[in-house]
Amino acid sequence: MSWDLLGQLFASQLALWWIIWPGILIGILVGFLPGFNAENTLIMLLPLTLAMPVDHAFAFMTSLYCATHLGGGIPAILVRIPGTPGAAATTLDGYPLTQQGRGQFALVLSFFAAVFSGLFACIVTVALLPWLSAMGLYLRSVEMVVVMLFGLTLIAVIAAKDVWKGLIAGLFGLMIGMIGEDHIYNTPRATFGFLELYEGVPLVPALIGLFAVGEALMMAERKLIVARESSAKASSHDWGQTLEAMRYAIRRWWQIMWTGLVGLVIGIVPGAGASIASFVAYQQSRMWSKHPETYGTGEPDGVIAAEGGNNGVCSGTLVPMMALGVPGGSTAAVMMIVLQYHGMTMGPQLFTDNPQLAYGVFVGMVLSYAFMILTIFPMARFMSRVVLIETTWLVPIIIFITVVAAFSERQYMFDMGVAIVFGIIGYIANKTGYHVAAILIGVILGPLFENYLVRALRLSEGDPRILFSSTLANVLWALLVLSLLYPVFRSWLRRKKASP
Amino acid sequence: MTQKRTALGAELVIPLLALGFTIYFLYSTSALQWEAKANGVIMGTALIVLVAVQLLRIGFDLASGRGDLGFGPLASPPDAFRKRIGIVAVTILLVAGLPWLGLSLGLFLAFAAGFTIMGVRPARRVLLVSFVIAAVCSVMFTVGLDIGLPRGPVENLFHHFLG
Repeated sequence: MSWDLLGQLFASQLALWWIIWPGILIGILVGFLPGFNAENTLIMLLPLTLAMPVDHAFAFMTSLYCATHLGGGIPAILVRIPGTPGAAATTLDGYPLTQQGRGQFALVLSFFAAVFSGLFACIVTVALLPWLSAMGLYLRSVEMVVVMLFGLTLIAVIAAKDVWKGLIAGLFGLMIGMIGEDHIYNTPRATFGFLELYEGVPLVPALIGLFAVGEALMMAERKLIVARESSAKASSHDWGQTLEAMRYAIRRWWQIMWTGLVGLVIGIVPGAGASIASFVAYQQSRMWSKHPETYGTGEPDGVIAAEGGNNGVCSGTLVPMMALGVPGGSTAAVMMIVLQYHGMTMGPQLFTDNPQLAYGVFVGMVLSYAFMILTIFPMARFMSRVVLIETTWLVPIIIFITVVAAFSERQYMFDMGVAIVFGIIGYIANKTGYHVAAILIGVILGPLFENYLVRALRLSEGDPRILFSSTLANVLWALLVLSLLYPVFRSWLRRKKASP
Repeated sequence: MTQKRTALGAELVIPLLALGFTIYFLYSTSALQWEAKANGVIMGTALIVLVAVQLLRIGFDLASGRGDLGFGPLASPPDAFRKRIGIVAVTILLVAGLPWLGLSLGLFLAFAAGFTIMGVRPARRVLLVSFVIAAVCSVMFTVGLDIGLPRGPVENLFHHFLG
């Protein structure tokens, strides 16, 4: 791609600011609301996007899509309710920061990480598109089993405080994730006779139950979300925490970049998504941190890692769709419908026949991120004050609205019941020290892990040696073992240095 | 000095739920092809071992007098527990009544009951805030996002007049 073309694309995309901005605002709102996502919003808005010129439609859809990923982190930080599954990892350190009266700091940190990791991933995508599109072909079921294990080891990390409870919670989540039809013969398993569970446990109601309902029930014993001694700090609405977070994020530029790249690579793999990316990025960040024991207690690097992974996915998801004609996720599939309606053929020839559109999509995403900075940063000061609302008001509002929102994804009344059941499980787990995040990781990653594992084993007719049959998989295995052993080696080294 | 005893009954709930579900899963997949049960057998066996160890630990604590079979932590503090039970009951009633009440009326009644259970007073304030939030939610869910929730008397009335 020439510099002339790049300049033209920037100019043409900049002229679409009037459609990018509403996309961002709708996206942030949709991301904020648990139960709603870019996919179902874009489906609802299909009549609008089909009627637009294709470049307008794409600018609108991509800005909305990117903004939903950013918006999902807001309730995750303020009230421990991930707006989207990809923001679940953000709750681990974002919410403790809010409880310490540093909600504004955590929000700005998450916005900064989201915007700049997304921006960086976009730039890398534009620069390396032909190579990145080939990457999707190399990451097959064998390699994805190892990628999944990167995320699943986070269960062991969470379990560090109480090994048995953490592992029981994680494995319980993995078992729940196996409810529904198996991946080969579509035979229903452990559905309790409910047809609604044939597709598996619905993720959004489970997420709403474990986090929103479970946490809201916990809130009932407190007057405010923030600790009493931190309420004065939380009520401050000056720019202090915003500037502090920006300074902190600039110092951690490298953390933002590499977690964005983790998101980008995982996003390229069809079927993988933001929830895997954010958990993998968070787990890797903790593994390599100099102070891993602070993760889960309000560690700012944890917020950066989770949001970096969550937002780096956005451009990655579009790569296989544009370059190969294979949508990387359900949202990309909806976008593909719009492109095909306008007569566009996906695949390598899109970049030769219509480079303005092919590269323009990613340039438009870069501009969307730039607009997001202007839109969202000033709002953090006011958003963070939500935590000053008394729990007598917050508890019913959170529970009733999120339980109703559980209906939205599949439009089954049954899903509201699922949210209530998971809410009670979440409450009991919270009260007795079984980490709900470990259960959720199992529920999210369990079915994906099983899918890739069974596919790989079927290819080898049950021979597990297939998991070590490719060079890339072996490199990933080595990295996995290294990332698990490194913290053990480091703490041994520290003990050795400390001992006389 | 008396040592505070741990309420081990509460600690048993999640392991027993996990154990019960695992047994059900293994039973329901016992006759299926290996692809359908391989992962479940591996994970389930590991989970059963972990739960067994946890039960043994709890058993030792009980035997040594460090704990009892109480459920104290789940029901404490008593005032908050009453509120929790009330809110969960209202949520179940909201879900059960939604097909007849519709979103607007259902949410209004749920919010009014919920705020009252949480101790918000006076009633006028409860009704006003419930009305405003229910109205905003109804507009957002039915008009803005059109998620297809069941209609009730309020929605039908609006539909009748506005078409």
